[in-house]
Amino acid sequence: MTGLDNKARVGPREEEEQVSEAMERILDAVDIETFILCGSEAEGRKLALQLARDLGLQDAGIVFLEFSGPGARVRVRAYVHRPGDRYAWLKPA
Amino acid sequence: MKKKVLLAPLDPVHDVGLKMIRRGLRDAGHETVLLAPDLAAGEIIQAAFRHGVDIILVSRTLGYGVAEILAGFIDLADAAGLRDSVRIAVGGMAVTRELAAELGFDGGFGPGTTVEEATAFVEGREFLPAAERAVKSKRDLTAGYSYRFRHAKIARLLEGVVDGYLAWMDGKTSPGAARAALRDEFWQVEPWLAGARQDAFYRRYPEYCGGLAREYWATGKLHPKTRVLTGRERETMENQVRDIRIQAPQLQHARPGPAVLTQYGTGCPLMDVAHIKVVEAWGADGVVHFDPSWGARTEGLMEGFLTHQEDGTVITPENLHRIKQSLEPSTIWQVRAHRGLNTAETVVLAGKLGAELTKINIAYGALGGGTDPARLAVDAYHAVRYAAKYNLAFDVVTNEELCGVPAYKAFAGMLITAAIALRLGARPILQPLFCYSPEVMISGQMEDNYVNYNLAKVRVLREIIEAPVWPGAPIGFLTHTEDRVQSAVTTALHAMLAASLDVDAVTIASSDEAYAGGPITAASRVDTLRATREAFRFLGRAAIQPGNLAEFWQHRLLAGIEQVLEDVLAAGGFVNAMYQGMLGSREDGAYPGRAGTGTVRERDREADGSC
Repeated sequence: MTGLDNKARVGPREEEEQVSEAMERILDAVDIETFILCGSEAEGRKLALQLARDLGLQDAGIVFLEFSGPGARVRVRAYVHRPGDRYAWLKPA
Repeated sequence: MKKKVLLAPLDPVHDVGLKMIRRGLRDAGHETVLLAPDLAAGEIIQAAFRHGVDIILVSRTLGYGVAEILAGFIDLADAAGLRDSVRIAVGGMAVTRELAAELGFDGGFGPGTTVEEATAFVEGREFLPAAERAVKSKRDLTAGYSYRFRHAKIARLLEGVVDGYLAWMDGKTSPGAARAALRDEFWQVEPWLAGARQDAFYRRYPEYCGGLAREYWATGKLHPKTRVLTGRERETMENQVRDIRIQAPQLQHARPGPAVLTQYGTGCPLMDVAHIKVVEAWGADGVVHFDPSWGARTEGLMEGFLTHQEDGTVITPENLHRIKQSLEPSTIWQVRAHRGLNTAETVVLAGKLGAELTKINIAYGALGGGTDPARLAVDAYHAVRYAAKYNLAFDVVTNEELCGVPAYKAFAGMLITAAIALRLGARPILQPLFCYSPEVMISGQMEDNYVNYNLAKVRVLREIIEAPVWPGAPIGFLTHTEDRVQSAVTTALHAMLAASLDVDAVTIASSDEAYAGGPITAASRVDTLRATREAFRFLGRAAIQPGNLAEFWQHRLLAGIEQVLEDVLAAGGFVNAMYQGMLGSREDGAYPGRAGTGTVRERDREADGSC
């Protein structure tokens, strides 16, 4: 709920911490919209969920998938904070 | 002071932005010289000397080699001694403020720069964006309406229905009415905030509760899918909200309306507040509190700062108060009360905690919302009286259309509730659904387009009465899919139709409204607000022209409403008619609700002092 700090990127460990902080600042969910080359809707679904797992996203589902021709237009969603969770962005100053 | 400005496209072809700025500068009284595109830097500098200008505005649209070209220009201007007397700024699609500053320009304007901003630079004053200058004010959706009936026959029929209802109502009460009376008389906000005991309320309140609420007051046990938020969570949220500065854009481009409202009700008041701040920042004019479905079937309210794991945020004084505290001064706040056993008390609570709007409809709550018609008829009487007392306008929703009830029947129910409200001194707002309802799916009214029938709905209401209209809720219901683009577009198009009809408000969905796999996200709320804003920009003061069928549907709706009201009178009045299906039958998909069955009492046995 406040602006992100502009930290200098000085090394892999700090980078990892920044990624973690970025995830913490996500209000509710991450949506990934992309086009996946695939041969069927079922394959598109499988690959879309695989993508979320490969990116380390938990609690993922497919909001929308439309297969036609060469592949699928897809919107994958991973909830980072669901209502009622203890929100990482809710931190005392 | 008048300036002479050289406008120079440092670009092979693009000069539209400079031409727009030229018009703005001329309007502001400045003298301008516009050069042709594709001149060399040296030619531009020579022109500046030749015309004796005070300022040069250079533009660059194409991105390739932009840094080198602009650096070359500014170096040459330096070498020529131009900069001692001339200020130079650069703008265009390929420019950023950072790049301009790095290269030594006096000003830099990126994509999205307004003519006003460039004019401010020329005049050497600070630019104040329109959003900062404009103070958004809270709208009264009922202002200026006379509530005069225009259709004499329907007015007469409604008068008869209301007379019968009030006679039926005389002497009746219910546990919900009793709780509302207690809340009205013995529960006050300031003592509650100060932690005063208010025994007169808390001692008697539990005896009028049932089920979950009674257990809560007896044992402290909460609904299984709720938990109490901690004081630390609450304080942290309040601190973070205090730090947020919102310069809300005005979504409406050229028209005064419609106001745009969004529903919240993530289940968690903290998440609600976060979402509310997002939609306020993206221009929403109001927000609607959406409670859990079990709340309507629970006899009594609980207390505490509660979060809920599923859709709908629990109505408690703490939750409503915290949410209210987070709102911007201009944000309209609606707390829905319409369909359940807590209708009357919810109105009282909403009124005491500062809401501007609530939602009441007897026919929908009884036929599509699960509440026994007689019970809701009693509670809604009190709810409407309290709405008048606390100055809450309310929309009369027609969601029974979503069950399959034809629009003309739903409209008859809406008009009856509205007529009751007017008799009791309240301010109803008519809420026709802009939806792809089961009725139209089956009967084909929207086979060709979504315009004619939705438009006919608004027009028929205006043919009957001069009253505010607030299509909902949300607009485009059942036209949305899980596709983000489709969903945002259909919302925007329905909003455009609503604007074209000059209605007073719309409630819009998020772009993930149709997704059943999880909660709505803030980004999806932004999608439809952006889309709606764009639709308003597209339409301006223009209007959508309906097809010939709009008039046909309008006549059909009017005839249907008249017939239903006659049937209601013939059936022995409003409450009987709800049981008998005149306002929506089992065949249509409407079923008289069962929650609260057998709880209506004669008041002399209760002595509850209801409103």
